Amino acid sequence: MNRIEIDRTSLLVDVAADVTLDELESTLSREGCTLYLDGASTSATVGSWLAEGARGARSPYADPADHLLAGFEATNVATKEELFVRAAPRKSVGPDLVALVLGMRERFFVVRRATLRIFLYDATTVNLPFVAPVDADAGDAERALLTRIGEELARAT
Amino acid sequence: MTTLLSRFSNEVPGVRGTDERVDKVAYARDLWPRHHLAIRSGAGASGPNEPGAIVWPESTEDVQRIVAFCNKTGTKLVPFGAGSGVCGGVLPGRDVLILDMKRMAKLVSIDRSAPTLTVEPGYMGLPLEDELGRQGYTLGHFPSSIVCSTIGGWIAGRSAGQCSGKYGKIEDMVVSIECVTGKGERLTLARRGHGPSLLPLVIGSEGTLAVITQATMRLHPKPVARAFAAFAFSSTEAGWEGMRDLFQAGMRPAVARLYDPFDAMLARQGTVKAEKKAKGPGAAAPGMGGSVLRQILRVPSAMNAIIEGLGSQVFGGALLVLVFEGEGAECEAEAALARRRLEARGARYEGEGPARKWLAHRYSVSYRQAPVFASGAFSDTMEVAASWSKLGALYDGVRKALGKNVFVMAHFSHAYPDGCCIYFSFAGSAPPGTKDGSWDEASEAVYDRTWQAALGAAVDAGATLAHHHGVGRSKAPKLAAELGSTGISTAKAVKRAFDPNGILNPGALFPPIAPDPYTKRAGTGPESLATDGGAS
Repeated sequence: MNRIEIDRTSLLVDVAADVTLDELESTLSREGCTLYLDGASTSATVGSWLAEGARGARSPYADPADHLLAGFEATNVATKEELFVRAAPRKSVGPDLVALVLGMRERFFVVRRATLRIFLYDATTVNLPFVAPVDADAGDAERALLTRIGEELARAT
Repeated sequence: MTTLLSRFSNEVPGVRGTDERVDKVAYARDLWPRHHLAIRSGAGASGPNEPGAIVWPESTEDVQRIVAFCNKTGTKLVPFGAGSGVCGGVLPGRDVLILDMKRMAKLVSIDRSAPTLTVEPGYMGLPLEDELGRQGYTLGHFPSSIVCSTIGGWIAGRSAGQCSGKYGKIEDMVVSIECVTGKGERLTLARRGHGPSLLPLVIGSEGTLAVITQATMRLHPKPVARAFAAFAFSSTEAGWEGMRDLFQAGMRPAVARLYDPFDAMLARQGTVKAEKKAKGPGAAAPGMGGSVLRQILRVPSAMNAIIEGLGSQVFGGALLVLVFEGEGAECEAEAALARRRLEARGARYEGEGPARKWLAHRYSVSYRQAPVFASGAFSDTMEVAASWSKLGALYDGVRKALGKNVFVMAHFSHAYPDGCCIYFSFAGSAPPGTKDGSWDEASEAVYDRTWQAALGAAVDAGATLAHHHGVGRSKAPKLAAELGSTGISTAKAVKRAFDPNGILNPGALFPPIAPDPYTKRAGTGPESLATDGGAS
């Protein structure tokens, strides 16, 4: 599999995690596409960018019918098992495991490949105003739960 | 004899409960069609699935006390909204406590600056939307079950509404939730712009991780204008290519529903029939119509082939219905732009009529199933989703798998820039030659074989097994085929972290490996790995 695979029909790109955003954006631009990032550090790799919460990606509040991360492959940091979450526009198959990757700073999984939404340069942009909630710190109970999830994932085989 | 309810009442005083038989029968199931078949045959009459008791908490503190009681006594607990699920997400047993959330139904607050709504989980869908409308807002969530479902159920099942094209699915609307985990902790989980959020784990967890006790939801201004349009396409594929064009161009019709040719014919005419039938006495009774239906459904592959052959010439082609809504004239402008784009692709404009008709009858479909079952046949739906590049393989694969045994049609009602949901509807019955005495058993075998084959075809096509109905018990046997063994072990690790004693909704999402009466007959046992209700 190539390090960058563009699915132009679906406006998705399947990309290896060690590709930098700069390299990815350059490849996309040659195809008339873009990630539509605003202010992201383009020297970051896709993997580290996702681990830090994908700063600069379009807010889902701007367009509820869209999303960023359609699927991914990742390695459990404790057990080294490979997790594959297939790309789909939306799903309803239990807990969304994207939560264990996005913004988690590789606490549980290290992303190997990601399937990301891309945009055509000439697409109409949809902007619905909304005051996004301020990111709240995790409380004690949530922090305890994060710890337990890590412990359980370490013995998940 | 000490009953579950008497023990509960002693240890959790002040929480209302019942173990009256009539209540236990009412809470013994959701609306899973496979269970309807079992009920019809008599083999699955509600007895084994009647819960030990039903309790009604009125506060988060009540829920915490109930969860503590269940952890202490090893009692299994099944959160219950309004029971409208169609995948067997609720199927209790005699030692199970049902936690009916409908007495936690307060509208806590509306924050007009955001705007957001904070509400308790038991608020029923339609009254909630009516109340929001009076205050100038909409949630934007209109599932066909809106008259018989709760906001907590929507979140627990990762529900989708008819206006998902503009407002997204329920997971796109949740700002935060308060919940009580299976361990008994009271948590608030919030959406975060950046950084960790455990919220997506609980949304769609079908009551297996935590009990949702409050939700803060994004609101939108109540639309004051709508624009309607409908288009005919020469083929279903041409129709979904039109939908793809609109969504990838950034257009967001609130409603975009594409019907394949036979479903389109029903969409154009069916509501008229329903109105005529409703006027006559005994309109829903299985009379001669039921007998004819049984005969037709005995030869489904022939019916499918005839319809495939007749195709667009007879049925008028695939039909795309669009509804734009918003605050003013932009709706008409968007509809005009959609018309230009679709006509440029060869679509034929059919006016506003079909879209207006759809809106007028948008919730009627939920009431058409009972007469089919009463006639001796069965019907069900399957909602799968894939990226656009896989949609053709998904449509062909699942249609072929279903079409061998049942009559099948499809519509596409939730589109996104990267893909779409296909909603298959099917109906069938026992095969030719079946004797009356074994009719129900033969029907069950056809249903099970068909369902498993169709799920397999969806997985093979690279699709997700569920777009918005959830997994419950109906899709659990194939869940490992989608998630893989690591996906299952990861989800089960998450389950253990939230619910270490495995008290919450056992049997949903992660079926036990013991023979399942609903898949055994089809020869397709569970593929997932749980042995204790998902906690291992």
